[in-house]
Amino acid sequence: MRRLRIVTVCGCGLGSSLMAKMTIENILAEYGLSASIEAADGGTVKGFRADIVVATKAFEKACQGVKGRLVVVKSFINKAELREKLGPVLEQWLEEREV
Amino acid sequence: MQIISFLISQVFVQAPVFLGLVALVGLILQKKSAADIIEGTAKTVVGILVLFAGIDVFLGAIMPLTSIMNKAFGVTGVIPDCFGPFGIAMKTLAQEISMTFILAFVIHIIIVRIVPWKNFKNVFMTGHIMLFQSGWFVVVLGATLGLHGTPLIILAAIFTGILWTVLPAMCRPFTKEMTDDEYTLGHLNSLCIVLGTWIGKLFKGTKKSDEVELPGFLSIFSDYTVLLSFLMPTIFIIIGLMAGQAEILPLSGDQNWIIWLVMTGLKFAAGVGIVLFGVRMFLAAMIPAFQGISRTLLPDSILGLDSPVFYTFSPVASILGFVASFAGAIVSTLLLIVIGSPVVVLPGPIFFFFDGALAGPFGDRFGGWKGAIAAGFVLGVFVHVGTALLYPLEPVFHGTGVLWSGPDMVMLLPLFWVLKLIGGALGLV
Repeated sequence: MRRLRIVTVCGCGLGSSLMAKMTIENILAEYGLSASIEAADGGTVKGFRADIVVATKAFEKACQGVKGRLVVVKSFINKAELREKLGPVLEQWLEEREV
Repeated sequence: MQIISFLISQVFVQAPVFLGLVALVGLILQKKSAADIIEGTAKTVVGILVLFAGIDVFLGAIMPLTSIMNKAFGVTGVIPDCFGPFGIAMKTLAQEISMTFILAFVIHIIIVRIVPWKNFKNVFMTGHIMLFQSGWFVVVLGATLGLHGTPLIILAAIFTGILWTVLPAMCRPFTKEMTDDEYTLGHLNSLCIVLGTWIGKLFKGTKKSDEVELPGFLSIFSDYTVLLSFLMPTIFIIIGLMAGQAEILPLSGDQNWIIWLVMTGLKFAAGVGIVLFGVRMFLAAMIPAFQGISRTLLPDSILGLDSPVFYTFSPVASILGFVASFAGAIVSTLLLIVIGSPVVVLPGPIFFFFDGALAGPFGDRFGGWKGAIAAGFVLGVFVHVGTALLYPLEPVFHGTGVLWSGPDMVMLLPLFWVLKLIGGALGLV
């Protein structure tokens, strides 16, 4: 199976997007998945090739037109919210691989 | 034996390889999959090399500007920054900085575990800032006390570990109500929160920032690259015009001198872009490991996070703080020229973004839009004027046109000037 590619987006691609990377890794582990997760800022996110783009509300506009599915969350720190919004996308990704 | 000494002298002293090893060990300790380990290690090594390449572009743009200022006006021009100085310091001090970071991490966890006060139960999470602070102490302690090697690493780590504990504790009483005490700030601009709140209290009863209409064009500057690509050519042109065509011609060669100034300004923006890309690449592999460990070891603590998490509490106030600190920076530059300071600090764009924009929402809390503007402006002046006093403490950067700065570093100025005097009196430097 091809490795899942995820990009997280915040202001500078250094602070909260790395926190998100850690939280997402935990969530992926619950699904038995591992992924290559990269952090990006609002200005460069369009240059990334990813299956899933995870951004906070402030960067929703900057992420319009990105390749891959966009998941917008209120907070990168809230694991429950991330799991709730990312979960269905991960399940869909898994289903598509099995077909 | 020969193989070991070959490895030490030829391989491990290479900063990219050394940090690659740190990442490798960290990833193995976390029992990551082989794919994660290979990816993380490779990206750390290449990320550092990208960072170094960016530094060359960055310096290639700023050094001509510094030499023009030096020749035409007889002053030392510096841009206060964090990413550039970090990259420059890493070129010669990579081992010291990474060992300080690791040791400080251990010290921070121990202190937070043992101190009884609730306000101190915070874990510093902002990885790039942690590296910057480790590096800054290495640079400044080396310069003030003349330390090298292991003693330098140990003392720098003690300072760094204490700072990571004190700064978030300093912010927590001020962020408590905003965040329901779920997280606080872990950054090098804690002073923006404290001073910003105090300044805001001077303007009680003012309309909230979010009730103010802002011109829409301001939002395009919330992209760092866009801001730099306007700001840097402007600064270059102003300095070029003040110095005159004759000073620029030897540097611009066949190119039209104004076009050369614009292109060199844009090259600065490009250098910063590459540096950021490199930092991002190697941090993404290294930092989550440390974040995971500290969260496990300090379960009762709240997180000290990056400054943009506070912008959401009042986006308009953070733009007002940003613009006001930009104004503060320009006033500071002019002020330093007028009083005849030998070091002239040029506007450091990174501080509008992370410090001015952070001071805004805190100024707004009690002082509305006036509070936000006043907080941003005062912090802009504080960090830029303060940077001039940091110059003698950071000889590593003399001649490069940048200085390592930030509000909390300026706050520590008195301490390091005392250390410098002690170091001088004891003949250590």
